[in-house]
Amino acid sequence: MGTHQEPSVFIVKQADIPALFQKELRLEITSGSLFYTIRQGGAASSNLKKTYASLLADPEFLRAARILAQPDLYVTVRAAGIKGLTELRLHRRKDEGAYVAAAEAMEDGGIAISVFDDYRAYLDRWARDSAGTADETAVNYLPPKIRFGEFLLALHAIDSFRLVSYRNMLDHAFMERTYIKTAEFTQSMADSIRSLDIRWLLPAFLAVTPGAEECRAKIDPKDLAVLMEQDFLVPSKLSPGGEDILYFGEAGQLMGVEFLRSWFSSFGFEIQVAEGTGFTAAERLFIAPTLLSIRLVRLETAEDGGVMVNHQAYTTDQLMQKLDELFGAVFAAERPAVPTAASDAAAPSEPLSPAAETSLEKPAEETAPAQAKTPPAASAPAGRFCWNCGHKLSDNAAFCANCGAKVK
Amino acid sequence: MSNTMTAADQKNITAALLDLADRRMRLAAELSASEEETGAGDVREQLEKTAAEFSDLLGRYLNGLPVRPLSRCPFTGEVLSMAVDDFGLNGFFWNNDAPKRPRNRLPETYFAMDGALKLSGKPEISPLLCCPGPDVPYVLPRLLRRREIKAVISCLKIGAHTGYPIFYYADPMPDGVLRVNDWGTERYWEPGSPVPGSVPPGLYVDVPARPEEMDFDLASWIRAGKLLWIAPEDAALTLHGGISRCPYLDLPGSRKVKYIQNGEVWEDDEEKASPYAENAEAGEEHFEEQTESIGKGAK
Repeated sequence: MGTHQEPSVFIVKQADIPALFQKELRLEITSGSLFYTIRQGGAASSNLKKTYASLLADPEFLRAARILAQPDLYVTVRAAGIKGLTELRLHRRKDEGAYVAAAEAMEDGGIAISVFDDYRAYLDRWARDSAGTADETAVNYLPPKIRFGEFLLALHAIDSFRLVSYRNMLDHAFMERTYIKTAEFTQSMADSIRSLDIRWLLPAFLAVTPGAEECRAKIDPKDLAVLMEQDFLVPSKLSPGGEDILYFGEAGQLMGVEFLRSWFSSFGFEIQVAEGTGFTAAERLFIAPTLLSIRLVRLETAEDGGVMVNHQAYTTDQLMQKLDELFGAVFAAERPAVPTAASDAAAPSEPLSPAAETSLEKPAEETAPAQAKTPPAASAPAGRFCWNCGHKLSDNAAFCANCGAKVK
Repeated sequence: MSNTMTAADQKNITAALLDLADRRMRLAAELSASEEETGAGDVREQLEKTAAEFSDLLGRYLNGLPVRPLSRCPFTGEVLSMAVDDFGLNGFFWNNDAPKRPRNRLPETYFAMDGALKLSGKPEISPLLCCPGPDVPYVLPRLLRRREIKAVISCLKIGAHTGYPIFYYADPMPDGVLRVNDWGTERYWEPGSPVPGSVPPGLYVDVPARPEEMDFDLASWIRAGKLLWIAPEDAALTLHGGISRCPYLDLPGSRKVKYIQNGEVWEDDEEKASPYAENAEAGEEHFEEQTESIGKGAK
């Protein structure tokens, strides 16, 4: 997205935050701030003015403090990888401009505070550190949209392929066609979800995607059909014995191999925007980079209130373009106005969606009958007329302006 | 109440429209040939009356076309539905020179619609020239090579025949990229500008799919993640990205563009195939020529 200056980083003890913000800086800590839950305070350092003298004189820190204390938008960013599960929060306060302030708790009890020029600067640094490099497009075996439960099953199918592959490796076993017993597949899913073991894709998704835990609805047995339909699994019977098994189909094998060999980390983003007295989730995203592609998952609310999943396989460039689009839309949006009677009355009765503006065909005859019925003006000079509709043609016209017929 | 036509309605309306179109064409030709403005008044009046009748009947035809869910966007999952004359190939919808198609609400990610059609038995008899593409579906690499574009192939019955619409979707929408003529027509409506900065947005553009740019090797595009498919008769329009069960690979049939008129069927031959056939290797030059002609036509 661009080149950005490295952000300044300020370290503050977590225990000092309430007193530093509320007493020294006289900033009330409001909901949305990472510090909201600790605002009541604890044992702060004895002389805050002296300890943080340089910070209190630094305009950039003061700006960060104002943003962190009273955000009108925040983004929870979780990461699962070799460092385990980590989380930071980006804050934005509109009257401080485009700046975003990140706050992340450190192991030693400190809080690392960074200020970025805008969300793009943060995303660029995130991409550089975490997104990896994927240059080629890859197959999307889970095209949009699928139900949340179906998506969890697909993740479990990928994990199951990895499990069977690890087991075969340990046993020096070779399967001509990789399969898992049906009973094991279904029974192991609940254990996997409960484990929150981020080394596996399904629990990693649930652990890092903010809000996903709220969606963890019961899985409908009919959701299993998606695995057969998208060729993740193929039901069969073991011979001899007749035990029910599930072979891994094209999607199960290829995504299984991709995640077995080249998946190491995953990330979750949730953008919350101030609305009324609280905050509302505007975007919930899960990102899993592999060497082949970067999987971006967007959680969307369906008309029936259920959660749908839009899963895409992106190159790095595509991912960054999409993140910029999604973040940009939320960051740029004004707070929704509370509808009033006057504004309702002024609203068009049937507003058209942007899609309604799109047309495959120029609305010719059927939407412009007045034009179609208008004969050439009596005073018009003799000229060319459309062979199809008789409308007078303008000089050099390649198509009739009335009916769209190609001029012969 | 549904205004959708029956097959019998479509047949009757099409016959009446043909009659009116024939009369209108004769009157337009007469008017074009008329040098004396004063003597052209009667002809103008007749033309006006005929045009009005045609317009009214055409409205019935367009409103009566069934709206079919045909495809699904691979970026958003949105269903693409479109009014289509699937009673047969004889209707004005399939009139290659001047197709009559109603306005459709399309996904914002819609980019272009191409297609192919395999005849089953003899085609319907109609004086309208119909060009539904080759028997076998294909893709256009010049579009799919762009990162932001993907295609979806599906299938629908058109009378007894089998049509293969191929929809191209883009996210984000590119500007200044020549698309391809709408399936079965000699034009497409360019909502943006094909030549940003020099041609204003919103105009018809004629960019035929050249035979040499049609790629019938769908498998390689599916493997690359650029082409998705919807199984025949799948009312749910489920998108598939895999290759193992794709029913559109290696279909039998001709790979040449065919034309249908008055019950006769003929194919593009080498000589008539394309004005650019002699310069098949020209590649981008073809599109430069197109861009130039679009610029002239837009003046």
